[in-house]
Amino acid sequence: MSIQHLKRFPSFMSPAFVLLGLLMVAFPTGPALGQGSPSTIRLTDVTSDSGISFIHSSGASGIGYIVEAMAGGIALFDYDNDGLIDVFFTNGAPLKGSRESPTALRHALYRNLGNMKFEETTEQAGLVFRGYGLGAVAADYDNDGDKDLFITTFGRNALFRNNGDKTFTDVTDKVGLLAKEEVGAGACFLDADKDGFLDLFVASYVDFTYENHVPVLSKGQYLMAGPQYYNKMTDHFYRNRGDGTFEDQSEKSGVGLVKGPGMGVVAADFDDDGDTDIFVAQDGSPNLLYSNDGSGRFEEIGLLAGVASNFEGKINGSMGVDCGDYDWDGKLDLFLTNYQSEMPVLYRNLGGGIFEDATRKAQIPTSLYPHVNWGTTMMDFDNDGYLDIFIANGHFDRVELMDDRTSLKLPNTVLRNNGSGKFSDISKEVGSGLAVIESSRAAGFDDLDNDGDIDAIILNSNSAPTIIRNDSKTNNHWISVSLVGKKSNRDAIGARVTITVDGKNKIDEVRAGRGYQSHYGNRIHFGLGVSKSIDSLFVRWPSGESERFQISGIDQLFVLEQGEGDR
Amino acid sequence: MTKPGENHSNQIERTMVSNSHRNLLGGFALAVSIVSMGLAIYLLSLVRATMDAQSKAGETIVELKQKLAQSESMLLTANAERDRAIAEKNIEAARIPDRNPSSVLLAQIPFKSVANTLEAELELLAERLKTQFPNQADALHVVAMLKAQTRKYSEAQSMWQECLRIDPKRELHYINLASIAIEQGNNALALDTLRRAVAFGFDSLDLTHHFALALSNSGEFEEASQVIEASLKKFPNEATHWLMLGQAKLELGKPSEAEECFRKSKELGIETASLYVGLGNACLRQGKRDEAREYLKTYSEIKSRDNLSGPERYQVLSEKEIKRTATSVFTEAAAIFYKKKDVTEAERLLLRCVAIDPSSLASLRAVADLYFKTKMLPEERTVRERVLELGSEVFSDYVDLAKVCATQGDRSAAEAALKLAVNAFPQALEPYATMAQFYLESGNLVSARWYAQQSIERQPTPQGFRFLAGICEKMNDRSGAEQANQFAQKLEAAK
Repeated sequence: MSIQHLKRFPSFMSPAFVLLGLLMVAFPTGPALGQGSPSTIRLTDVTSDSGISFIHSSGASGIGYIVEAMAGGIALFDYDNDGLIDVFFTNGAPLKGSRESPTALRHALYRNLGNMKFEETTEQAGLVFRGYGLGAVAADYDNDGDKDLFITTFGRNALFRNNGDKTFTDVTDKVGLLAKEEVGAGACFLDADKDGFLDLFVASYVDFTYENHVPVLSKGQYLMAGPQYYNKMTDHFYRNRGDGTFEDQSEKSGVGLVKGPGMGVVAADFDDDGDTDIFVAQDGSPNLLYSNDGSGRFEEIGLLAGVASNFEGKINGSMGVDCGDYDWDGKLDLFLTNYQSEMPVLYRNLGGGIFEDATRKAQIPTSLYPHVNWGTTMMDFDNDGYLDIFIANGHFDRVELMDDRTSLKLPNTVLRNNGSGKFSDISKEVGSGLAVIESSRAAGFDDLDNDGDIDAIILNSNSAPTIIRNDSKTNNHWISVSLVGKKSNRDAIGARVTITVDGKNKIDEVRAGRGYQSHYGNRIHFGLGVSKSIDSLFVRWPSGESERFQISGIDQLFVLEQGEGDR
Repeated sequence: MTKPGENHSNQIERTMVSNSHRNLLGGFALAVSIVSMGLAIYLLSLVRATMDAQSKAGETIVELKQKLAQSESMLLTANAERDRAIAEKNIEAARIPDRNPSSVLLAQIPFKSVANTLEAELELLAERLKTQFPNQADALHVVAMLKAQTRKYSEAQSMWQECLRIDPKRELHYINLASIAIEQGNNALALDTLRRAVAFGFDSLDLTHHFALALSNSGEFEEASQVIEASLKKFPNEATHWLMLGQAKLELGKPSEAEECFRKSKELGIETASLYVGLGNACLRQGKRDEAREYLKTYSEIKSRDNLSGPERYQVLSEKEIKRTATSVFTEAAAIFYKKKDVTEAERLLLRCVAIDPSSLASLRAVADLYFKTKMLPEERTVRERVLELGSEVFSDYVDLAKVCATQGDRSAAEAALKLAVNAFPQALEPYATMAQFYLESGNLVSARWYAQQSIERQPTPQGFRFLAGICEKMNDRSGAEQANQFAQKLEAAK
């Protein structure tokens, strides 16, 4: 029952952190898990001091190519293993007819220096890659101890292997991932067959080329034709052979049998059967839920699971997706962002592989209805123990010329989980981080300054990103867990962590790929409310074994290695 | 946020259109809008768009331009400016009076309106209505309807709020305001508005539907269920109520009750995707997977036919949609101007409807009815002739043409119109009876008797035999009259 390997993060000993600890002693004890307490979430825009100078460009041509609307993605991962989460932004590239210089646009990698300061290391890292970037996901596919990076593009997707020396090498061709050119979207790594090696799922959007572009002209401006104008594509599943190469098993696995305009993806065990399933948000087609039989073969069951449409059978234009246990019932729920004149949808997991559309029950505010929503997460911003929701908003056309309810550029949204299964829009109360008005797309979340709360980075289309520091002052506690697989894949992608606090169980899973075509949150973060300890922590590893870890202490990161807990 | 199975724009449209019909006044009640001879006038006007004509209309246009400038949105593009200029030109041209019957020329091809042109023209009309009738709810309702359909939701909301201020006793204003608030994502305003309506004592099906919808959108499923159940006591066969109740029960975690409600809705004729997905989910939650699978299969089949169009996805008004909006708005506005004794403007607006869709019989009838009421006989006749040329299958269209011809003293044309009716509806009683009446009034008793006999052959009625008897008497055919009366008596006795 002892912890075999527990590391404490050095930066938690910063003066600010110690001070916070002292202050916590002075606060009276509130209700466990913070239920019903007023919001204390404070999110501050620190972009100008962050050192991030990246400017996104959609490479627009002026005639509204469909890919302009959907760019791009973010990956938040610690590429140099220094304990700080770094940032990767995808960028566009000049589309046919664009006036952008072919060399001006590139993706960008920023190394985290701590305290929300970053420095660009794209060139040093060898990531000067100029494909039209759409999505990104990071994971240690070769189990060598560092995170690799996969980028989806309009063109050929690319895999960059982390050399372990803060540099990357493009190994797309070498590992067998060189596919035909297409419009990629969200992607996720998962160990579908539990062999200890991460397989790769890549969603594909539509069969768009310059030649089949559909121009839509209204009121003197080109609008971006939607996916309904193009042929749908099948998604891809690449099995990791374990020797550093992949095999295209799209058809064999079953995912290649379904066509659809895929966007955001997330992989987790949605039916509690011990393997990793895949959810694909689809733009104007029924959402897909690929149920894994445990061997890496999938059956699409979205309709029977209740996640293909909303409560009344409406097929939404879904964009981003995340999962989390928002109601502490020990099951992973889903939250989807959707197109204009559609509500985002919260799917509550009822167990037995069935979900219900709980959007209205959870009082997701109807003020979101007029807008297009993209990046999202279910994370606990105030550590009160309940997952809040972040939603990135923005259109891709000058929609305000056609509809006065919404606009190309909008503020983003934060919904606070009130602890009773309902959410409140607190966007206007949280500070400058939510006052930024841009056309946001991808969003990534993690504790970027290692101070115990979740910060955010938002990619804004054709603009600078927004860097948001969480400055919430609370008397709540938290723990973070970073898992290291041994028999399982090294990143422990697919591992389920169950904590018990005050007799209640809460779960989360390590995932690679979530939100809107993005990657973030490899360290599992639990807000504990005012509880000062956790009763227990179990890890169910992707390989199937479960271990209990004795956690003494809170408000810190625990690194847990497979095999070092109690079975 | 909609009636189950209906999209939001349709919802608004449904509300607005139903309102439109309710607002039709007097002579317009049977028609929905528009033109013919108006188009003729318009076409001629275009041809004759001389400096002379322009100067005549100059004053009006200056006025309109001033109003437009005041209301102009910051977001108008250069193209919108161009479109507005075209719209102004159209209005100017259409306003040039030309009542000479010899100039009447009916439209053979659709007016080349484009969406942007029409939208600009509609904006001008809206400004005019607001300026001319600032305290008249009916007029502001038309403006609101236009704003809603052109997706200027804030202005629509203001207009309906004003409608409510002016006329708080009209249920429709509450429903419209709530509908637009729902579209804006402002469910709190919708709910507040509907609660006010309920407090006022309104309890129509429409109101209850919207009230339950707004409650559900707020997650208040218990209260939504109570509202629907109360309404179902009055309207037990309202299928959409059962559907909505099923959805609420499902949210309340009562899948078997939900299933029952969905089944009732199906029995009453609902066959939408939302019904089948509701049934499927209700069954799934009761562990009835096979049944669920069947329902969801049907749902998928329905949805596979339900492709979202580009304009729908992008919230862009399609050509067809803006024309439908324009027709509806012009017609309602015409009714308002007519009520205010401005026949010229009423006529112009109805003619615009015909210009937009020259083959719309409803529009042609509306303008013909206006001409009838204003005793503009040559114009009426031209339009009614056009209705027949377009292949009307409505008997009264033939009679109306005959009437106007007869009023003009052209009895042979009237006779021709009625003969056409006889041939168009050879098995119906009415054309023969009408023809007989016409001949009776003309003194052509032989023909009158023949047509009366024909009508009786198709449908023997006491009235028909008495009518025939009357003709026989006029012809001094006493035995024929007696025989006809005996038949009439027998039929009456048999009844």
